Amino acid sequence: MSFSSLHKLVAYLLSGLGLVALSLGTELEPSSIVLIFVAYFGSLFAEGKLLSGRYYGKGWTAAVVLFLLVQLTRSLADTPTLAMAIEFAAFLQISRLWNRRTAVDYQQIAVLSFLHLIAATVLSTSLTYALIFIGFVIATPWMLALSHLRREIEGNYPTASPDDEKAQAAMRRVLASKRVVGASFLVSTALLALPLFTMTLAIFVIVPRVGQGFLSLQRGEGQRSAGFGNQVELGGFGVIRDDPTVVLRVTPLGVSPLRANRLALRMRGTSFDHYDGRRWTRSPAAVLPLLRSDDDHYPIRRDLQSDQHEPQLRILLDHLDEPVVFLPTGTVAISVPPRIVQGERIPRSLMHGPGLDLRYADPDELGLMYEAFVSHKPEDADILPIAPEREANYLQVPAGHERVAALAQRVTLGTVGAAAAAKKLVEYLHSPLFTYSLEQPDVKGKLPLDAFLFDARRGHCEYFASAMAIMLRTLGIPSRNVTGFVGGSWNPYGKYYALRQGDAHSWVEAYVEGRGWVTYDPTPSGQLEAGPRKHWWTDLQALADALRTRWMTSVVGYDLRTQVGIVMGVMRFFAAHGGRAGSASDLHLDGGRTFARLARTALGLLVGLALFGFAVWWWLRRRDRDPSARPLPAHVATMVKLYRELERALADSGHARPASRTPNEHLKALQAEGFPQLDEVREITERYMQVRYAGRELPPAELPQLRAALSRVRGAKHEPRAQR
Amino acid sequence: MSVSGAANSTAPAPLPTDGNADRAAARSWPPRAAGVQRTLRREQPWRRHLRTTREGKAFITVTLGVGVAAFNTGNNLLFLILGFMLSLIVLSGVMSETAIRGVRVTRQMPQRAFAGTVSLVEIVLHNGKPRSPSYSLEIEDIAADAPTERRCYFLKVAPRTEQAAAYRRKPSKRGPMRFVGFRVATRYPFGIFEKWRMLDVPGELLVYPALLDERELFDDASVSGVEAPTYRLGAGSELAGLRGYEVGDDARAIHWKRTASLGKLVVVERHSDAAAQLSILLDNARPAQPDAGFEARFEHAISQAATLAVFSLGRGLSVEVIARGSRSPVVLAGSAPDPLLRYLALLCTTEADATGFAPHARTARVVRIATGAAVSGA
Repeated sequence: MSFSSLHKLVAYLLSGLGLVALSLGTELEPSSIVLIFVAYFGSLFAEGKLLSGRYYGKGWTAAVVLFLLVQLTRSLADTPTLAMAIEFAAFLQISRLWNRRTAVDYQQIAVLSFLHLIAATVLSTSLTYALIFIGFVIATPWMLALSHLRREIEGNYPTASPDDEKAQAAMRRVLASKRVVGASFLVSTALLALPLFTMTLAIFVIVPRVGQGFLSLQRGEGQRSAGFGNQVELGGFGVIRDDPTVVLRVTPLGVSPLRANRLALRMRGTSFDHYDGRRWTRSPAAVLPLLRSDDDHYPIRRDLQSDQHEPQLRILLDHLDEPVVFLPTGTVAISVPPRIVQGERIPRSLMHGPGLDLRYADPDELGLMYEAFVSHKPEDADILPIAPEREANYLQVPAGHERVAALAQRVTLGTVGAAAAAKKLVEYLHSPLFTYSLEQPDVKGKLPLDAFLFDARRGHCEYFASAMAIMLRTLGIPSRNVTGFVGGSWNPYGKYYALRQGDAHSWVEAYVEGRGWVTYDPTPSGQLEAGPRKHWWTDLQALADALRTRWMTSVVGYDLRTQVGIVMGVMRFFAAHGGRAGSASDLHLDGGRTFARLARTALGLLVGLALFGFAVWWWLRRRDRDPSARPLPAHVATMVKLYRELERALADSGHARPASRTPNEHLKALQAEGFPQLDEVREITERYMQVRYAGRELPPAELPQLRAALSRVRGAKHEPRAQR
Repeated sequence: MSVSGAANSTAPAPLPTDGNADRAAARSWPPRAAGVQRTLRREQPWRRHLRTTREGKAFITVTLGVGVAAFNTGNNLLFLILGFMLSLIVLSGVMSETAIRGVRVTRQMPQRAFAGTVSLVEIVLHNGKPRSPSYSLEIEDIAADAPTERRCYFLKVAPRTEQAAAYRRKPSKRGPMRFVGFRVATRYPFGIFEKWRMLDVPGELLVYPALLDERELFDDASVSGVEAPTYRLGAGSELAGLRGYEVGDDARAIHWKRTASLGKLVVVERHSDAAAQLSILLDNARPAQPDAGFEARFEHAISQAATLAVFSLGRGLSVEVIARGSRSPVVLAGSAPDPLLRYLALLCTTEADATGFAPHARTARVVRIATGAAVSGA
C-alpha cells in the first residue's frame, strides 16, 4: 500500500473512532448520527481535482461558518446546547475529511479526533468507550507518525510555488511510494501500543485522585427499570422479561455455598402498600436517613459489630433511574464504602422509607457497590410490630374485589393463623389451575385480578403477587407487594452472579405475628430459575459483562480509596515479608483523617515533583546554553538589528520573508516579483551577509547610507506592487 | 529497501544561509563560529539535546489542560487520557532515540571550492542498526566560521544500509574552512520534539579565492601586458598540426591513420611544453594604517591574481605568483592551477617594509598587481 493510501486509511480509522465516541451518549439524535456517517463515508471518495476546485475550500469554510450560526440559533431555542456542540464538532471533522489535501489537514483530523475522544468522557462511561480508547492507543501512533512523515516530505519538497512541477512530481512520487512505510512499520508501531498501554495504565494508577469535582458533568441517564418507582401498573414486567441487560452483580464472599450455575437469589427492592384495583402505589410517608453505626455500616434490622461479622455478599448495582438499594433475603446490615471528595471520605447518604424502601443518593450516577450481612437466624428477624398508623394501609382492599375475598375464604377454609393461610394461598396459586405467562390476560373491562383469578388464570408475577396480597388482606392479614430481582447466572469470568433486567420479579410479604414480615412467592417457581435462554453468544455476553464490570469498578470507579488500598497492600506485603509481620496489622485506615492526610501528602508530593522537574529542566537548559551565545560584537549586532528592521518593513509591505527562505532567496523572490526598491534591499542584504557571516567590518560611515536605503524601503511600502 | 534522501539537490538553488542563521542570535542553535568547537569538544556521545516544536507546545498545552480537567472533575476517563498523552511523550522520546542512535555520517568534500561559488558537499549516512530503520533524519554539517547551510533530509534509511545526499555550500571567503561535525536531528515520530545529537567529525576544505570574469581583467588597461603566448614547436603534449614526413623525423610521430588515408607518411607536430612564463607579482603589503577598504581591495587583488593565473595557464603560459616574502611553485602551462590557487588561498598580508618581492625569472613576463586594484604589465 502506498504511503498516501495508508495515511488515508489510518486517518479514517482514527476519525471514525472519534465520531463513534461522540455518538456514544444519548445527546445525538439517530438521524444526526446517520447523517454524520453518511458524510463520513462519502468523503472517502473526495479525491484529486475535486479538492483543488476553485471555490471548493472556500465553500466548505462558508459552510462551517453557516453551520455554526445555525447551531447557535438552535441552541437559543429549546435544543440542548450540548447536542449542538457535539453536532458542530462532528461537522468540523466532516469538513476536514472532505478537504484533506496536505499534512496540515491530516494533522487537524488527528487533533479533532483526539478532542472528540476527550469530549466523549462526559458523554459515556460505557465499555464501548473502553474499546474506542484501545483503538486510539493503537491508531494514534500510526496517525501521528504518518502525519509527521508527510509533513517532512512536503517540507523537503517545497510546494510553496505550485508552479514548480518538478518539486510537485518528486513529492507525488514519494507519497505514492510503497517503500516508505510497509507492513513492518505498521506492525512495529502497533506493537508500541503494548508499552504505551502499560504506561498509560501505570500513570492512571499512580496519579493521585485528589480531584475537586467542581466541573463534574452528568453521565447520562441510568437504565430504565420498571417496578421500583412510585407506582407499578399490572403488566409492567412483561416487556422486560427477556431483557438480558445485567443490573446487579452479586459476589459471594468467603466460604459460601453459592457456586451453582443458576440461582434464585432474591434481591428485595421496594414494596407497595396501596392498591387501587389496577396499580400499586406507596402511601405518603416521611423518608428518614438511615443511620450509620460507624463509618461504613448501616444497620437494617440491628447493629453489628464489624469485627464480629464478615459480609457474605458483595453487590455491585448499576445506576438505575430509581436509586433503590436491593437487599438479599435476610439482610441485617449493609456496608457501603464512602465517596472520596477532595481526599475526604464522604459517607453515602441512604434514605429509609416505610416498607423497607431503601434508596441512596447517586451524585456520580455510577451506581452503588455495597456488602450485605445476611442472617437467617430467628433472633435476627424483623419482629418489630407494625406502626398502628400504617396497619390500615397493609389491609386496604379496593372496592369490587368481593369475588377475590370469597375465593380467599374458600381456599383458606379450615386454616388457623396467618402463616397457614398464606401457605394455603401459595399452594393454590402454584396449583395447575394457574399458568405462568408473559401474555397479558384479556381484561375486557373487568378488574385485572378478577380476570386473572377467574377467567384467564394465566399471567406473570405481578398478577400472582397482587392476587395473593389482596387475598391476604381480605382475610385480615397485613401484606404488601414487593418488587425486586430473583435469579442469578454465574459469570465464570467475573466470578459473580449476574442478575438481569429480565430477572425483575414481584412477590408478597405478609406480616405474621411472632415472625415479622415473611416472604411468600406465589409465582410458579420453575419460571424463575429458568433464566434467559442459552444461546451460542451467552458466553460472549458473560465475558462482555465481566469486562464491563471490571471497567466500571477498576477504571471508571477508581478513586483515592482504591489507591490507598493498593498502597496499604504493598506496605502490608513488605511488612509481612520484611520480618515485621506484627506491624502489618497496624496498617489500617482510621477513617476520613487518614484519607485526607494521604491526599494532602500525595498532592504535596505531586507539587514537589513538579517543582523538582522544573528545577531540573531549568538547570539543564542553563547547562545546554551555548557558550557562544554571548553578546554579538557591536557592529554585527547593529547590522542584525538593521536587517530585522528591513524584514519588518518588507512584512508591512506584504513581502514578509518566510522562515523557510534565506535572505538571498528572499532577495531573488523580490526580484522576481518586481519589488520597486530592490537595489536598497540588495544593498542591505549583502552587507548583512558579509558582516554577519563573512567577518567583514561595518564602517560607521556606511551606516547612514544603509539607514537611508532602509528609509526608502519603508517609504515604498504603500506603493502598489509591480506587475510580474 | 531504502528511499533516497531528499537533499537540496532537488530543492531550488540553495543559498549561503538557510535563514535560520540570523535567528541563531536569539536561539542557542546553531552555535556561532567560536562556540562550535567548544560545544563539540565537551559533547559526549550519549548526550542528547531537545527542543519542543510548535506542535509539541500545543500538545503539551492540551495535556496540561486535560490534566487540570481531570484533577478538577475527578473524571477517571480524563485521567486515562492524561496517562495516554504522557505516555505518548515518553514513547516519542524512545522512538526518536531509536532513530538517531547507531548512525554514522561521513562527508565527501568537493575537489575544488571557490569563495562565492556554490560547491556540492556529499553526506553519507550509514544506519548501523541491525533491525530498525531510521526515519526522518536531518543532518546538518557544521563548519566553523561559516553559517549553517541547508540541511540534508533522509526520509528512511533501512537497517545496515547507507544513503548519500548532497548539499550546496557557498563559502563566503577564501582560506581553510574547518568542518567540526554533524548535527543529527529528528522530529520523528510525532513531531512533538526535535531531538539531536552531535557527531564529532572534523574536516577541512581549502577555499580558493573567488574567480572574476576574465573580461574584467582585459577591460582594465593596466593588464595590457598580458597577451596570448607565442607557441613554439617542440616535444610537448599539445597538438599543433600534421605535415609530411621528412627524413630524421621520429617514427613515433607518424600519424598512422592519416598516413593510410593519404597514402604517404604524415607526422604529428606538437607545441613545445616550454612555453612562456608569467610571473604575477602580488603586492601583499599592508600599510601601517590601512583604511577601511583595504581588506576588500586586498581580497579583490587576490581574486585578480587567481583569475589571471587560471586564464594564463589555460592559454599555454607557465605561471607563478610572487608575493612579498613568499612565492608559489611554478605551474607549467596546461597543468591544473591548484598549486597556485592553494597558495593564493592561504596568502596573508605582510608588513610594508618587511621584505621585498622574491626575484622572478628574467625571461618571464611579469604582471604586477597592487592592492588597490592597480594592475600593470611589466
